[in-house]
Amino acid sequence: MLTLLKALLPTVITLAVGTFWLNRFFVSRANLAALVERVCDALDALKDDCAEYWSVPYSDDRSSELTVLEAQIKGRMQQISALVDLIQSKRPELSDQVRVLLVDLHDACTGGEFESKQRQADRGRFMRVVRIIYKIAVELQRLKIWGGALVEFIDAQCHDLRAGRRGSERVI
Amino acid sequence: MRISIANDFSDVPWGRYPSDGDVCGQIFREKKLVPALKAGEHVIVDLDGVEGLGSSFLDESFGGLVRKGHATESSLKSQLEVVTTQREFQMYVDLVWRYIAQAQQEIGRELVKA
Repeated sequence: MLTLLKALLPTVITLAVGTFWLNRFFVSRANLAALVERVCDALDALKDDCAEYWSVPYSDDRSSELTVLEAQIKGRMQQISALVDLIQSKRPELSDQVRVLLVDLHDACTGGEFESKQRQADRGRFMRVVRIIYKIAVELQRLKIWGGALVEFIDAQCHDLRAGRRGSERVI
Repeated sequence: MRISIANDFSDVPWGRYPSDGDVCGQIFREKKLVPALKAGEHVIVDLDGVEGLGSSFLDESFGGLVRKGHATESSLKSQLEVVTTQREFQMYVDLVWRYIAQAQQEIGRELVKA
């Protein structure tokens, strides 16, 4: 019996360690996938808010509604920035280009006459927002280390985003 | 001199021009930034504590310093520091320097045209 135990021990230990690391790998991958999903959701919501905000000029009648939208857009930008920070802290290989794109996105969403009573509808600005959001989604997909399955997952998550983009282009 | 936007101006800075409200970029620039810079002090602008900043506010406050002739990009690089301890606010710091650089380029282009 003792001999049998001695013979099996290395195998059992190898299996236990292997299972632990495999589990760890899949849990970590799932966490990152969830984070990416949240970024995509937030980007999608930001796109919708910007479509609503930049497609019509400022008007006194809608001022309270616009104030809420403005706060929402700024809040979503902070949320996206914090989530991307979190992803980058776990995956430093996520290119710094994403940080630059976030600055571009903030400029596109809240620049110009944002929060101003002189604001006019700005379709070009909205199109810029959509382009940058798409670029950020692509950068997230470049995390090849996550594996093809995850890339497919991100692609699926961002599918609605791209479909929404095409829809919004028609509306605006 | 340290200027905390949240404590010394407003925790909800808003808009570009005075017509947008009393806590807009133009008023922040003229009432807070310009006097501090004119006094020749090293100015540290602390972004912590604000509820969020619009690019329009940042552009008018900081880019406006260059556009209105109160400073140049190089003078601001030595005299101005923009700080935050909130990681998600780092993009605001990047934006401030981007708007200052853009304003300097605008001035340069106008000079070339003239």
